[in-house]
Amino acid sequence: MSAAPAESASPTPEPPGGPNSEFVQLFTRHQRRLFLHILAQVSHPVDAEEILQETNVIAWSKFHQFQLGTNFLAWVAQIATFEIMKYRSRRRRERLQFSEEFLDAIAEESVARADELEARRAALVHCIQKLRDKDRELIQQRYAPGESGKALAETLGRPANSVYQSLGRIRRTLLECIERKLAAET
Amino acid sequence: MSVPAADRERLLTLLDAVCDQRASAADMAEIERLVLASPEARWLYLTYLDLHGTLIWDAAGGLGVAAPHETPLPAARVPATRTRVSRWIAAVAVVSAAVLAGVGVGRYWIPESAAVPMAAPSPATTNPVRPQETHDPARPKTRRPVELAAVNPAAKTPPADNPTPSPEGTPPAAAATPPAAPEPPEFARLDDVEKVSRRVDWELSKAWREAEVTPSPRAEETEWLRRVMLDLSGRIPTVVEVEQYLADDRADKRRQLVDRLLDDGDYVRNFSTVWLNLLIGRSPGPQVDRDSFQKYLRMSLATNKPWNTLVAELLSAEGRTDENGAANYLVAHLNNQAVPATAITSRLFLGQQLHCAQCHNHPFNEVQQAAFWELNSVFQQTAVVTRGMGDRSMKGGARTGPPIAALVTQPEGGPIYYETTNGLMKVAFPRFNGQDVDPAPEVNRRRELARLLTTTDQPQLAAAFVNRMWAHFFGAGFTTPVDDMGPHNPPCHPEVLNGLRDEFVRSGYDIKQLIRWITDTDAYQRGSRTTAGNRTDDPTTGDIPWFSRVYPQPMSAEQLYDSLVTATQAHQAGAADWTAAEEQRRTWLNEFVVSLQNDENDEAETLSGTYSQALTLMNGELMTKALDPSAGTFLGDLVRSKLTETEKIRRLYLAALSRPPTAKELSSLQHVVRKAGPRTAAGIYQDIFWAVLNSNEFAIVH
Repeated sequence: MSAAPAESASPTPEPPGGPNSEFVQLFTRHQRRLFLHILAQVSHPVDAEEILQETNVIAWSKFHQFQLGTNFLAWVAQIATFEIMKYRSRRRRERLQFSEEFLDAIAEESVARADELEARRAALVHCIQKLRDKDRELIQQRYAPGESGKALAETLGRPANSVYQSLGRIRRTLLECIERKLAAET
Repeated sequence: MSVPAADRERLLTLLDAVCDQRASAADMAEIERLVLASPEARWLYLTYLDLHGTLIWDAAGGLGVAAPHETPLPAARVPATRTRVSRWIAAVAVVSAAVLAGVGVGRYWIPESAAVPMAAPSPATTNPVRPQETHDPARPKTRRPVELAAVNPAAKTPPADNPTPSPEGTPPAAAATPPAAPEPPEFARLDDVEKVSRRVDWELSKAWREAEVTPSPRAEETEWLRRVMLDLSGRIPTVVEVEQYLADDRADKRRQLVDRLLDDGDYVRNFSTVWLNLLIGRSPGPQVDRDSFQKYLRMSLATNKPWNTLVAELLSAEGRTDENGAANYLVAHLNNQAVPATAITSRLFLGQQLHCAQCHNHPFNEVQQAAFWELNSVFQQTAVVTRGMGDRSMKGGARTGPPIAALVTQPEGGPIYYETTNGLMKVAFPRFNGQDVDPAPEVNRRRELARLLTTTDQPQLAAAFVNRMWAHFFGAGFTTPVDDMGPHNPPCHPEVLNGLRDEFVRSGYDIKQLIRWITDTDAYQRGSRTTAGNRTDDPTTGDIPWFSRVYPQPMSAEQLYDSLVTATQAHQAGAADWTAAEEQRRTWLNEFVVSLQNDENDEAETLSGTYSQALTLMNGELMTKALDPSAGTFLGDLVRSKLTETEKIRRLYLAALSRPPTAKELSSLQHVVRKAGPRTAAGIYQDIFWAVLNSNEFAIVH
């Protein structure tokens, strides 16, 4: 799938001083966590993904400033913070924004408790299976790529408010299920 | 949960509004209040958005949320790994192929097993094994731009007096050197950048002496800052950047700035745009996935991928245009029996214009018709196929879109036949730049080509790139046009070109290093204006360039747009969000495309041809928005501020021209402002800003 020239004959050399393999692994492994970290601060998924891309570019070009053995997420979250600031200043005129104080608190906690958040994902997988079929279907439709609650309501021909309400109820069911499962495990 | 039940319920209701993007400003204020009031509420906020985000992230790749009617998939032992980044990772896969081999990075590699089957009841998958990560809870708490730059401490060694010359580094010093002549520099003690740049200086100063040219004086700091930012970052500096740079009093601040800019995201954006336009043009055909290609280029430039590797990847790419961005180059040019691919590959990467040789031998250079078809036959095994959305639509639900193009290699062998002007059929075997490629059917010729590019020295590949980069910074190359090199069009200053070419090969085709060399030369430090001593140094008259000054260039459409936006912060007015702002940029740029398409082959003409058009557009809608004096724009904030009129005029100048006004300009503008009186002051500043933005000084890289 890639443009790898002659896999057998010629190993493509890493660029001089390019990211080493450990960095690439860390980078790959933290993509989702980083996305969630950003999303908690900008809440708009398309924008969050754009900020993720920008952050990735910067992280790659500054990989040599990352010291292996230190906290990768904390490092890359700093870059993300800067990108989020740039994004915010671009849409300064909009009033729909959280304050910096708020974002500081969220960003700090999101990094400090990343492990706990990460542990919840396995529980989520379990909990989705426990949903009633109808609820699971609705969640699947809502979170299909590019979908939104509003568009979903139109597709289903249901009033938007009632769809929002159903989605909220299902998310809460999931949240409570996750908390029960984690409590049971400890 | 020790959040009071009522608060918890209220907070969750508000967060649902956030998740479905219908939260009002009042909702958000209330969320803030609740969340900042207790750590438990903060944790609730985080976990709820994390739940929401995980659903988005996993669903986007068709990961967890498979279509409901789909048969549950068998258990997956592969750790659940992101698939949305698969395209992203694909772009860097070449760099890191070995590393990623064990990680399932795409549903196309491991089509089924990568899915975390949220819908599948298989117990084996309920606990995807996540690699253990350790997090250091301690981290800096500042929400300030992190100074991640300043990588290169640039141990700047001044040219030493120590007279031990490095054997190959020192050009032979003529015994009868006139007193004005520069001393041959002593290279042994210099760092890599200076070693190369001082050598270029030495060659050029020799040329100036022989041509009796006196170079222009060193450029003003503001002029230099503006030029180097346009060249590297593709936009003018902001007021803050100008002031910071002027306040910097380190002796090597120019070099420090280049290092900083090379590490910046704008460098990547700028050069990926430049190469995107060169490689596939501004409006490629519908099969080309421009976004995917740009992503590939951005990643390649961000990692400073060696130029030979990048070219090898473009020429040997396989697969879908959306997964492997590099495939788009050939998808764009394989039509018409790969004639465009042949001509453009030769012109862009080797600086050789073969397109006329398609039909006949070149009348007065050595390029033979055979050369065209030999290169052409390298591409003959390759085909573009289009694939429907098949596998994708099964997973993502009702997803529709145009079919996706992909490059495939077919095992065909043998030579290619072509007709000469006198009707003879001739045969051509695959060759690239004088190197034979095995014509057997089982040999993948493009892959073989990639191997040649990455394992053998390619001086012509290097020379073509050096020439183009030099022209990027100086406004003229060693040949005119930059992509027509050969015995019929010998370069000026061959010592400089060949020296840089050899160093570039030696550095492993290190693009950023080449930029450091060029921007550190004495010539690049000089101004663009001619003086009495170098009035004859003007390549636009057809004379050879002496590089005793930096030639002014009109801004490209992209530079113009981004600079205008930088100066005015215009996109804040009217663009609802990030995506809309990008969309606006593209729409605006598309207006240029028609006119730029006419002579895509000739760089100089392309830009000057649209210059008047650029001005027309500047006076159109974008300019109107740029001059919108409402709050939030640069102009709006300036007019409302309590600054003195002198300071306001100074800032208008810094924003648009990156320099303070001269005394004469200032006094005449003060006169204008005073005459208008306070009531119409806003309108007057608007007029002044309009005038400077429409000046030649704004729209030219000088």
